[in-house]
Amino acid sequence: MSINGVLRTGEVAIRVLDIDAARTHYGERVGLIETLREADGTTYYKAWDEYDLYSVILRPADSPGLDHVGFKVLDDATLDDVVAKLEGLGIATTALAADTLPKSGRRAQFTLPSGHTAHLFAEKEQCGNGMPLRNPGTIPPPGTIRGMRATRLDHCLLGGADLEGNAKVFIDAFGWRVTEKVIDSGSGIDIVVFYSGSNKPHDVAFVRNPEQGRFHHASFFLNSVEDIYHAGDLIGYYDIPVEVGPTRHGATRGATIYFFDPSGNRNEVFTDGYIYYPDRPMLVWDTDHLGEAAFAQDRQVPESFLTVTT
Amino acid sequence: MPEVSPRRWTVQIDDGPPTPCPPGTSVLRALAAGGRRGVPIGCRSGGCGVCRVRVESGHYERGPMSADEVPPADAAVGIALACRINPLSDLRITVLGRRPRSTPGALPPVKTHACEEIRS
Repeated sequence: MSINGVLRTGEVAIRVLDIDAARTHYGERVGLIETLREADGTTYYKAWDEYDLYSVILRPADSPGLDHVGFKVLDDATLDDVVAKLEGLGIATTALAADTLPKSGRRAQFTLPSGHTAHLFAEKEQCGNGMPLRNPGTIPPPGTIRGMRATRLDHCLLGGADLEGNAKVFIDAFGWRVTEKVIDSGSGIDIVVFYSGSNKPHDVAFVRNPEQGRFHHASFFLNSVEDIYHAGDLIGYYDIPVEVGPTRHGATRGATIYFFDPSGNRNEVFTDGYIYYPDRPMLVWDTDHLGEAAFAQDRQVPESFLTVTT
Repeated sequence: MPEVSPRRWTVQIDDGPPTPCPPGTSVLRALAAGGRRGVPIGCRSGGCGVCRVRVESGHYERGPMSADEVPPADAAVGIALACRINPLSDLRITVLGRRPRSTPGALPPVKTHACEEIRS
């Protein structure tokens, strides 16, 4: 099947230096919808077309970066099945009781070989997308879609040293597939690996990095290249630090802009790309062709894109 | 009385030429606008640490920045991220770059898992 028991990257928890500035950025500018707020300032958001109560968690801290990435699974049986497969690979998991994260069922927590904390969860309260389930219509109430018009959390790119260990997790335990790779032209080792558990060109990707547990970016899906350009206009209007774009990726063929939140965590807005089926052959890019793999129009990769993470 | 425009402080990298820094403008932005190379440009939001400098002389105000990149002991001796400091006087700075980590090395470590394969 083209949708796996591990459904998607359903949650990204990010540390921020200034929660008020972060709320302005993710809420008013990216256009996410705040759904929960805790006493310590931790704030929960969903994108408008997601049903789950939240997909982005912002926690005030003295350093930015990733707290955890959450993968949503189909049901509790799938959760137990994936946990058994992880344990079989020698990856220890910790059970988190229901409501450890608000309005969410029991979870399994583990550390990816790349050094990132990951969660698996099957249950999270759903609040819907503003449209009824019966005779839903085509748009939510006017005003719901705002800012950059992000429709969903699409994927994230994370950096770490042990990409081979991660392959065991995503292929053997999750049942995901590698859609594309960037390999070192000399040695042939993996530099970037793109995984899909769905029809998307990627649900998560990893870049080889000597430091473990690094956060490269979280990406939000927009509905059109026109919306990408609209996001670019907002980035200019608000003077948001922008790194690349608008342009198009070679890998995934997505249209993109990269920019930074007020704590230096990188964001992307993304659209297009192909539809992926499990019988689609894996594509490989050599680092000799890194320019066109990364940014296919000007074929230039800014140094910061390769060196800056949080 | 003609209106007095706010003072434009200057920023100098080592003994290089002074670059004007308009009020409310970060040191990094002023250097980039002035065409001065030398301080790497990263997230421009106090998070990534590549624009780390040491302020050798002068006063400045400091916005939020990552404690992983500038721990309090470093901040106490004038180390800061250039994207998050605004001059309150003329400044002279030295470029440091991102704080070295305990896992240095440009070459990525390659883990082949060969041992496990041989054992099985």
